[in-house]
Amino acid sequence: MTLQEQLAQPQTAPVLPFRDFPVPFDFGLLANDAIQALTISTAENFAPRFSLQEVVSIPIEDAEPELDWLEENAQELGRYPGEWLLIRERRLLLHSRDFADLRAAIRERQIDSPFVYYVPTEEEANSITI
Amino acid sequence: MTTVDYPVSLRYRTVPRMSGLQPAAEVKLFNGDTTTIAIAIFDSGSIYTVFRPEHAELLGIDDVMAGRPETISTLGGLTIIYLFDLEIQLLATGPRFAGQIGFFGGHASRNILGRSVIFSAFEIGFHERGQEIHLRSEA
Repeated sequence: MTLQEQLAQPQTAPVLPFRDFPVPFDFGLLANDAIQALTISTAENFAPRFSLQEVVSIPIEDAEPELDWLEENAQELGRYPGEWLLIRERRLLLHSRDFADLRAAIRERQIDSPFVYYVPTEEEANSITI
Repeated sequence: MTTVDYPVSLRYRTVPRMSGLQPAAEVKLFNGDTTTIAIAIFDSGSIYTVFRPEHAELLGIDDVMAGRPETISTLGGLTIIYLFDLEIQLLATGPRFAGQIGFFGGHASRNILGRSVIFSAFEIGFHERGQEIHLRSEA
């Protein structure tokens, strides 16, 4: 169809993108329907707002692997009161009362994001925090 | 009446040589590209989120006393913590966020997730009978 033929077709009102049946129109402050563009003023034509916090707060499965491992081995690890533990990939790499030992091992093995845990002493373990 | 929906629930944990089940969480601390992972206990009675000084070392903070000092009251009397602008991530919830993280100047028996950072980022509900913590991000 040529441009001339297209222009010769009966002109129809544009189809609004949201709904194709009559909706309330806002004719503007001047109420001049000859110069005011038709607008849709119904809120239901717009997508409901979503909340970012609902998106980012989805619980993550197996997100606490070190804590899981500590819990599984809590009784065994209780044998090291007053010591620091260096844990890597579900293995106890090192335990020592001197944190410098762990620091040296972390540097030597070039461990990114090390996980260390201090095992409370008898006195610390039996105190109740209020 | 206010009703809050909590999308995340964490159960209390057994932690080596800490009595009973604890409202513990695994967190990652960030100082630029340097990171470390620690276990900390939710404590609504603490204003600050505070870690042992050894965790500062692992973040590349050689002198923990270079932080902004703040005197706090503990069961053992007054003590000073040192605050740094770092980032923290609760691994069970996902996003990381910036905040002032404190470090003890000397030995401490536990790491604490207090109101200043964690409780500002989440609405938190303690379900003591069910031994659960419920979290809702305010990000």
